[in-house]
Amino acid sequence: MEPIADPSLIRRIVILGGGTAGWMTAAALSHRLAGRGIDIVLIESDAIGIVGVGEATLPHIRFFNTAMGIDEQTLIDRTKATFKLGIQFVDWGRPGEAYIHPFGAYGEPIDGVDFHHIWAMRRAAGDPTPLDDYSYPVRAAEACRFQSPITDPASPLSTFSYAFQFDASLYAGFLKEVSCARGVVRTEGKVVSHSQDSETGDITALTLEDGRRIEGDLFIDCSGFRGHLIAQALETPFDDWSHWLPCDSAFAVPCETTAPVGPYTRATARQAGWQWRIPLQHRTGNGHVFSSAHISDDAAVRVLMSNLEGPALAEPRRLSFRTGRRRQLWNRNVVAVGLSGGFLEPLESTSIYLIQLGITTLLDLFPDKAGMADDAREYNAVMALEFERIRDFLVLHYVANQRDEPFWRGMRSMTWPDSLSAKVEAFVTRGLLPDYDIGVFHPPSWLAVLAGQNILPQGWDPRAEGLDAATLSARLARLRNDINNAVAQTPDHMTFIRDNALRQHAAH
Amino acid sequence: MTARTWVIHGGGLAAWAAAALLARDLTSDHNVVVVDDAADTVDVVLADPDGMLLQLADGAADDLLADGQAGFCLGALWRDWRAGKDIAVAHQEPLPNIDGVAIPDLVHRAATSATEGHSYADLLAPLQFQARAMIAGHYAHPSADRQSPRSLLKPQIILDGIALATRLKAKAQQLGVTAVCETEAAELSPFMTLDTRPAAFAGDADWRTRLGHDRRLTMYVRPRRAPQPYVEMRLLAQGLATHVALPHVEIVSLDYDSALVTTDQARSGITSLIGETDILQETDASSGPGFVRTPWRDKTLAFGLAAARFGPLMDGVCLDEQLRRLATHLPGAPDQVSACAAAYNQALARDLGHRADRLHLIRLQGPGGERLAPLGPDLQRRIDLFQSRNASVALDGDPYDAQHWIMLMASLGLQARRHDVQADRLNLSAAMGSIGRMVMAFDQTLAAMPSHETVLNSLRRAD
Repeated sequence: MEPIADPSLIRRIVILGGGTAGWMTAAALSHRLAGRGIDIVLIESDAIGIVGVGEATLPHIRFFNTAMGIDEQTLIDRTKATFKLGIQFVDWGRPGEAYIHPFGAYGEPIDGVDFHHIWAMRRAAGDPTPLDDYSYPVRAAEACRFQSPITDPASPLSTFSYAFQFDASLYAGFLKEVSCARGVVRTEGKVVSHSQDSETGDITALTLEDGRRIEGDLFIDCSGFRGHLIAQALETPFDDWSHWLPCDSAFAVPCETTAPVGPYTRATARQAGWQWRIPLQHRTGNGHVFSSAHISDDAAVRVLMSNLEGPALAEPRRLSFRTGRRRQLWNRNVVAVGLSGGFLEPLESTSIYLIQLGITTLLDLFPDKAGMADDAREYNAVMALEFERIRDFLVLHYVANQRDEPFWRGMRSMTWPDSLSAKVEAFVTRGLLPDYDIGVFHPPSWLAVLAGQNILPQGWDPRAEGLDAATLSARLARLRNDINNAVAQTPDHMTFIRDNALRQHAAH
Repeated sequence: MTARTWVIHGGGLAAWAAAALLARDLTSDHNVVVVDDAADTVDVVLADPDGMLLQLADGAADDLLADGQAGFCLGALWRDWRAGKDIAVAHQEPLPNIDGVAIPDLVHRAATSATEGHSYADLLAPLQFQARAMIAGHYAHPSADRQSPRSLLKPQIILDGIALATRLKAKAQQLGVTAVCETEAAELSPFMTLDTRPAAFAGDADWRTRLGHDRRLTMYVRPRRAPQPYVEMRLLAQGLATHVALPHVEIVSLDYDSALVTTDQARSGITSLIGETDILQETDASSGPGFVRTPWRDKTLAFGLAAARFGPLMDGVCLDEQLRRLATHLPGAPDQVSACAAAYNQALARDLGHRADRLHLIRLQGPGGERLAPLGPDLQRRIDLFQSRNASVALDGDPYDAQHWIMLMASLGLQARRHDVQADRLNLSAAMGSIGRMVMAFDQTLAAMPSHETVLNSLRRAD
């Protein structure tokens, strides 16, 4: 197609930073904007490392990859990915307890009554059946089994979704290849200064260490925590949420995989933070997220290294961060994607999700020069709401603890966001779960964490009490039985990965 | 255990629908009484076939259709609304994307690429299958086959509100609800009170200036024309007229501003519309539009027309939505009331706010729109985004999909400056070829659909 000769159109996009955010942006933009005569340049420096620890994802990543034209099996091969049915939280409620936040529903509504009301009512009447017995993805994850969902609504195998655990550096490298093959120009160099339009304040060009000048119409800041453009150049204010999410540091280290590879990420609460474990095909990613006000670096490293499941494959790497977000993620002609825009710690695998949301929202609102202020206003409204709702969900994990260390006691006694207090009160008094359309975490996710951390409803939908007890018992028994049978027939996770790869390769 | 008593004030449609709901859904330790002292005036009810109103009335839709007291409704036809043209507003299922690109964006690209020819709204019109069926006076039930254009249809049932209220009253009483007088009610210590009396409405006065009326005159007249699958709207000198033709009756109402128009003038307005005819029944009542943002306070819930009233086009769906929300927010014990109230109020305010905004948008873009009060912030945001890029804002609790908003704004004459850039990556000729084939399928399906009257006649009980 011939480029359209309209001076208001964006002709050149400059992406600053080549980590996961940068190359995801490049891959998506080069695919979705193909044929519009738009040049895409990505500036990265080998001298600047990437964070690259966002290894756990949410199911939305699948749709993003598909929209970028990336085949799932290729992705799994190239990034050493494993499947993911949810996140296991160990010791978050009371020490010794664990639950899985699954990517799927619990039970099914009965006569219009949501399942958790029925479960809560029966539990109060003495039925000890755990909520997890009504979740296929929980039971399959615990059994280290996996298969793709099916569409038959009568089967438990239709009640879940899945994501990936992958090597983020390999993912970025893979997307780099894809992007460059689609015409993205990679420029090696370190940005030392920028130029701004004297009237609009828009960024007009970046100057590299060697004197090269890279001009652009739209700049995507993927420069990580330092926010080279959004923060340093445009001085966009940062909303600091560290009073609600006080962990500010992490050590990350890979180790050999020794245990069976489960299709789930694990987050284990520690004395002043928590530790992640993300099993990939070729290694296991680990990290200890902690509050530096409550534990020293040495002690934090000791906690991490003494809780690895296999021999370490590298020295622990330290990361520092501040939780919160830029008040405007799109300021003038700069859009912050990834860590430059904000950080909400990786507890619920939202880092890559927020990158992806930033990119898809940018594509939905892709600007021209004439309407950029309108697009930015809408983009910022969408992203702000998403950040706030994720924040509340993350804070819930911390405040709903029954642990005894000073860090955890402090989390319990802090002032909650008002929006979270109302949600928890509604759940406790009447089993009401948050009801919104915009946001990544929906009622089953809230239920998993609330119930998993021992915040249980004291009241429920009164319609549940009108259901016939005998019929209900039979129906629940059938549900559990169907789930158990489905799990029993589900293949071992790693066997599925191997067999699926063989099948896919044979088919090609 | 002492029974928890729910006292419902008002003896009309909302009261008996709520009574039937509570009696059906609550256990025997709850008791429901109705103080049948002030019937509301929901004359025309538009209800979803799967909605709570028709669920509660157990087969009433079939019976009322058989008795000629109901018909099907595909939308609203706003007569002479923009530059002398009629505007058809119908909420159909969204059209599928073409290679990931929304059809309205492709159509916008085609409209802006053409050197001459049709406007964006003109090119979108053939794709509004439900609106076309409605204008043609045709009707068929939706199809489950996703390949069929009929799968796009989202019809409502249009019913005589008084007849439906009678059914719901019988149903509620069958479920054990009793009617009591005010004196008896005064002796009760209610667990919850629902007030459905229109006079209890304490809504946002702002809506009176946004929609420009505060009173409604309604006439039931002997039918003189074939029942149409739509509600007909027309702005007269005296106010906004709503005309519904059912087989056994026509219901015509006029929303007017009592500061400017007398009841006699309103009556002459209706007469000018329908001519001299037999008037079977007439009511004239205060009906300032709007909704209550916090209808549930402590143990008192404003319900039905006491909570939201926007006229015949919306009163039925607003009541349906209130019933749906009440069912999922029922408190079983006193300590649950506060949480239920907060969640109910939030959910309902979102839904009603979007519905009211849509009505406001239509009024603003029609004749006399310049005299109405300006937009609220959500509607302003919607219009800004549409005009900027042919897109729709995603908001919590919106009962309408993005495509509906886009098609509505386009048909109301708003101009989108540009479209989604994704539309530019497709071959336009090929994409428009696909859209053309879709329109041909629509044409063929429409031609094969029976008239609304034929469908209704097939459902009528033999006299």
